[in-house]
Amino acid sequence: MSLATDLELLLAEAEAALAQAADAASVEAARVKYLGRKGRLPELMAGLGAVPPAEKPELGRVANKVKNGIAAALETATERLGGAGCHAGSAVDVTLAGRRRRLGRKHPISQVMDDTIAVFRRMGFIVAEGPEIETVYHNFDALNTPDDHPSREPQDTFYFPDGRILRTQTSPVQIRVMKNIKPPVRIVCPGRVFRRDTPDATHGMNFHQIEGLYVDKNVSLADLKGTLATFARELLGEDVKIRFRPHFFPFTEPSVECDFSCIMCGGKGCRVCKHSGWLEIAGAGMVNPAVFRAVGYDPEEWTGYAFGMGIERIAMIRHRINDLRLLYENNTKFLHQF
Amino acid sequence: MKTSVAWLKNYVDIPWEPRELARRLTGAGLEVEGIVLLGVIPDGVVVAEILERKPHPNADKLSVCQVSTGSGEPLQIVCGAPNCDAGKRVPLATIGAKFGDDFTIKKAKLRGVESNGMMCSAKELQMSEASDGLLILPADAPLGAPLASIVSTDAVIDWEVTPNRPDWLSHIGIAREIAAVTGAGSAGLRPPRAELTPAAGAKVTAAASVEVRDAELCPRYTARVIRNVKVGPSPEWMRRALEAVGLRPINNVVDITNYVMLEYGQPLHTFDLAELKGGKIIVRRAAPGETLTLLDGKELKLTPENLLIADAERGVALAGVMGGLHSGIGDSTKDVLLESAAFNPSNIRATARKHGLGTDSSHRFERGVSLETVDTAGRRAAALLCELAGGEVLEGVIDLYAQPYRPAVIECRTARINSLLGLKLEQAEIAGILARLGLGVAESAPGVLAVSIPHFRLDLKSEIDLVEEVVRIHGLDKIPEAASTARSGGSFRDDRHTLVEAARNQLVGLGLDEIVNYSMLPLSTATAGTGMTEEELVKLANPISAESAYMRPSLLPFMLQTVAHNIAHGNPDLGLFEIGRVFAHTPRLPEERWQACLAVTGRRHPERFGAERAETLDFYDLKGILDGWLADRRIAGAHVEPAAHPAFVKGACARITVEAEEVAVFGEIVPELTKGMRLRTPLFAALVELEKLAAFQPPVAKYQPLPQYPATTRDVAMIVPETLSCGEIRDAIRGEKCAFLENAEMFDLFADEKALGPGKKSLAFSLTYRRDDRTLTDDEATAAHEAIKAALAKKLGVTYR
Repeated sequence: MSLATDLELLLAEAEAALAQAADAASVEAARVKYLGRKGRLPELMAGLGAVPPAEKPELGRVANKVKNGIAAALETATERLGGAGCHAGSAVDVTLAGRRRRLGRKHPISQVMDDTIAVFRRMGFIVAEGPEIETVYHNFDALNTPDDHPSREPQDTFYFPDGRILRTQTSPVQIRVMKNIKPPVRIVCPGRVFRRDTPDATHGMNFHQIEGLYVDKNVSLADLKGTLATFARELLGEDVKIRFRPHFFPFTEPSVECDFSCIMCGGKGCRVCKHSGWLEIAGAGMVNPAVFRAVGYDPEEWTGYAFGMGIERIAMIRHRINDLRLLYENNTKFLHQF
Repeated sequence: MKTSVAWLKNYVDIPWEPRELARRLTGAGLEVEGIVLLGVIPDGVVVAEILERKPHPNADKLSVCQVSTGSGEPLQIVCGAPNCDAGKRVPLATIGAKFGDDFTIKKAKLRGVESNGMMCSAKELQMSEASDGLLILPADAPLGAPLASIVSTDAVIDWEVTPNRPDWLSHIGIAREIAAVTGAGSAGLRPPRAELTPAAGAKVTAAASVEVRDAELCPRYTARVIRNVKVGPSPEWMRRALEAVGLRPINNVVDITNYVMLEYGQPLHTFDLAELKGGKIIVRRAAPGETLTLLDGKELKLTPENLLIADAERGVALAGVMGGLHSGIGDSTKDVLLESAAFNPSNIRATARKHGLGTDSSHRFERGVSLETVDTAGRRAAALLCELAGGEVLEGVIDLYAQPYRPAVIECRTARINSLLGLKLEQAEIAGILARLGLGVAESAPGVLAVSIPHFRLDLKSEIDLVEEVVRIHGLDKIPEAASTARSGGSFRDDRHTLVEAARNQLVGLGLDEIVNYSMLPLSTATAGTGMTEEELVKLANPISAESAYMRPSLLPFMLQTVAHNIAHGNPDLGLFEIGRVFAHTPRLPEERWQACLAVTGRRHPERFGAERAETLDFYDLKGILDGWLADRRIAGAHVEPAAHPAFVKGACARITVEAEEVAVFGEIVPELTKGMRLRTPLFAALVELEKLAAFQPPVAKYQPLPQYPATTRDVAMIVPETLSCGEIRDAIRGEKCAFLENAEMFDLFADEKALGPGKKSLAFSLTYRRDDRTLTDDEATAAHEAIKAALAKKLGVTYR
């Protein structure tokens, strides 16, 4: 008998066996018997070496046909017996752990940052960026910071040997954008900023801020208040209120501190808000005309507001994290909580 | 800046209790750091005398006292204080007295004995932090009198003064603010008395002389001479005032200068006239290397940057910062020269910084004092020296005042104020607010106010400053919340966040957790495994410590630390990534750029069981994540090839290039970098140049028709040299450019020296053929397949089994 005939007979035998298979176990037994590593088909194929070369292509074709045929018969039998997932006899233990395809987690800083950006994008702001290594001009001079302002001191700001600095705020991005485009401007600038603070529960050498700037005709303090109130409600809840308190920043005037009503106690007063009912969240104000002059905008024609806030602080409040350093330790037991 | 409320009341009426005062002023921009109440006496606390003390029948530590308030029947009070002895006069809180919101005195039974009130300690009346018994009142305190009428109370408010408001560094400055907020305005202020009655005939100019050699650094210098001062303790009211705000009383002369400094914000200095050589004051720059011994004994070496107060021979004080040792007031001082002057703020700041001397005096001069107040405060201190230290002031004042203050006039437009604030204020309202602040206001044109700026408000320089004044007194709470208008800020294509945001979302989708690390690291870490030399690193000029002296040149070092931290904390199965900026001085790359770092280690399925649970992540798990990421970004034509990198094991390191640009390098971390980590499974990491990756923006996808005709699959197993990579074979298959070849997938790989011979391995590919115009015939498929096999045999020398 030729090998080709053996192959054809094997197919017929397998088809017959599978047509009679009564359960999944018999189907599996047949698979092993015919197609398994030491099964009948591989056994026959081992004889291929002895065949004259001229016959090999034809035999290969037949072998393929037989292999496909047996596979088809296996499939038919499996389907007949109730599908591929059917377990032999016993039911699936549905409580065993699934083979997990888990999504990773964004860092809580990124979550707050992305959520914040999303709120402002919906209000028409687009995101601008600038370098972390900045010039003194962009970080201080153009922002109307007096030459002898303490924040410029090497005690508070990181300097490089060439006189540049690590930006202490995201505000220099405002300057870069305004120098580059004509009003109106409506941007938020997220990013990492640096202060020469020894790390502790509320300070780090670097942290993240987001800055906002809107310059247009007739922009008013009332617009700023409306925008920040919308932001507060969108990010932290419909009941959150805001209040302004006067403050002083060189680059805005009037300058305000913006407090959000405490999300822990709803403004009644608790430990988190130090019993004031309010949480200090943002510094803001109307862009100082001196800043407009520095970037070549006419302060009589354009007015604008700017605001800035710390992302870690919002994350700590939102998630009641009591130590800033936890955010930078990156213990996955911590990260998986958010 | 600490102020005593009792002290403030000397100058202005305060209609609010301390907490309300603090709240009101916070609303006007004067923030409160803290309030310390020195005595809160509720209504109903009166003077009483203990008539009789008996032990409590049921409690060892309690006494039962009979107490009289001077009229009516004695009251029975149960008391726990050790000192409730008969005959003492003490404060008694009678029924109904309220201590705060949640404690009201009621008739009560204490362990079975009726008590009709509470005798109070100093602590209960918030007059001290702690007390060990009842507050004992003087024996002549009138019985029944409200305690508040015989005991004075105070509150100390600590204000957070912003650098633009040096006028708030004084009680009078704060009183002025209170007057503006209450509406009383400057008319409601009571300036302190400062009448001088000089002794006849003796003129100050005969006793002393002053020369200012640098008027730029000292725009005004006044000197007065007070003779026959008797140095001694200050009166009780002054000692108490100073102590309330945290100053230690020293003697009447020193206390007076401190008191007037806190009153007017004008630092003063007194010299022992007898110690001033030649009775002379010279205000000059120090000579190079000139030395001065300060009051505290410290010797300073000066430079001409430092302004010195000198006598005819030597320095006697570091101007505006601290007095010298040799000219100060001592117990034997008789005649005093009183200095009240103004110095250049920047110069004082530089001097104080340089010598590490921050004093109450330098703090005020750095921020700027009023030129006009210089004389007022000097006069006030001279009057107090006469009144409280028995001195006699000489007639006149030496006053070197090169350019007397002339008020600036700023115009402000009602329409501009309203438009900036989003308000509709009447001009009269605006004028009223400005006037209450002590500014001179007149209408210069319709809708325009000409505002004259008084000497104590040098922070007001332009119209915008007045806008701020208006809104803070009017009340920021009255600013409406305008509906937020969703005006477009520009094209979303210009939005810079998309690069980071997209990458972050993709990596999270691939199952990795995001981490965030600091930007600075030490030299040893910055060079370990990064391939950077010290010269290439970006170094800070003033790091906090060597531990954070360099900007991170790569995200890898902190990634390794994060992995180590997690393993040490029992988290061995990790998939992490960080996205951040890295820094380096290299010719190939920008100084500052976005990078992503990925790392995986541990088990593939820690949640499963049996053999599956034991599977650990390997090189191909990380490669698969990278493949998935590139596919998600629809980057075609990424090429992976072996590479070398100091962080990765030789032979288990690869780079990914797109259009010949290296976008990533990845592999297994070398043991030197994981030493001490107690890794149980190998650690794999990847560094991805995010900006380069983002530069490959695939064009918008164009629809490809779906296949209409069936495909035919042919397998091929081949024996090849071990060194031949799967990629080379795949490239060779594709390189045949067979028109019908749709896909070539490797499906088996094994090396078996016995079966295949040394240095050989077996690979099996499954090739899919398809025509898009009709069904491919068997013969066509076979012909194409055989052609490819023949080509591989010829080009790569593969053999077939």
